[in-house]
Amino acid sequence: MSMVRPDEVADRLAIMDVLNRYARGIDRCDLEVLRSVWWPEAKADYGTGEIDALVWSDGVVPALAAMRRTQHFLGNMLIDIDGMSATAETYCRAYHEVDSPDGPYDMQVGGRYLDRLEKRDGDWRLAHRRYVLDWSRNGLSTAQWDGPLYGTLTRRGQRMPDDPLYTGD
Amino acid sequence: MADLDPRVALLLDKMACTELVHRLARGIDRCDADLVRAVFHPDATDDHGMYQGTAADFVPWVMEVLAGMRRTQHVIGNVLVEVDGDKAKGEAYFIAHHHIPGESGDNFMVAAGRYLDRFEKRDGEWKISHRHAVYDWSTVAGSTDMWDRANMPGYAFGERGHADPSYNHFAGA
Repeated sequence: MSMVRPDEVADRLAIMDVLNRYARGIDRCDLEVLRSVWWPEAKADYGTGEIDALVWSDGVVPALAAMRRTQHFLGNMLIDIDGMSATAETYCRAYHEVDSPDGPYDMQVGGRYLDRLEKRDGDWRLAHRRYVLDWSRNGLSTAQWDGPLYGTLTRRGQRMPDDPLYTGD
Repeated sequence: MADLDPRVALLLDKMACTELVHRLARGIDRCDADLVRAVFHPDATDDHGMYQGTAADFVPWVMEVLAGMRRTQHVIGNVLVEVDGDKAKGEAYFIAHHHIPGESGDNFMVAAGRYLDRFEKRDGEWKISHRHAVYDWSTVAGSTDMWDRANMPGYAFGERGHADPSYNHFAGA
């Protein structure tokens, strides 16, 4: 599986960009970026059934925005390219901080995206995504953002359009 | 290959080495001895601290260690690869997650470190000739996993071996 071939370098890099752009769309709650990773008829199945990926995207952004913050940390990517289509597995370590009656609460999930991508008119996008759950870790947040060390780290991640990514600050 | 732009050739070599690191993580997490074996040269060696020896003997050793755990996920981050002809050195950051049965409930152990790999290209194919695992930090605490796997139909959960959905996925099913 997944041998790196000379004629596929550009395709592999383009596919990695699509996979990474998904995480940006999710974590910045940037619907435009998130929608741009899918082909119009793409399907996604996160465990509650296969649905239209664009419909899913429209619904997930407000759900994410209701959380305090998220980070989808992508790791290992195994990509099999077969002409105009590709099959990929991407590891993800997802961090979600949400409100709870007892204060901020962390939900961490280790999982994998099983993707099928297609190249059309030179553009790679996701045609199908299935999410696999590997592990989870849950508990009250131990985040510390003040004090002599952390208090100096003032540039914090935000959602669009307040993140430094957009403001340039 | 001879007329390949040297910059593209370097990119290919780096990609191939990174790919091996990712394939090895997949082999470990799926407890797939064949996948693990396939990333090493026949005379490769491994130093995991508690295991030092040939890669061939590392495979059954690590499979036994994994059998004592419920599940693992080895997430690879930063991968630096320095290529020198048909040899290369790599430093790959990892965060490894282990769900382990304990006497008073399950534990969740996270170990992070770096794989210091040596790669060699033989007959046009890159494989690992030596792996040295270096440990940087770890945390361990009681498991807080709340998924009732048996009663969550529709959700795909990670499995060991070919029961994992990734096998059908890569087979095109």
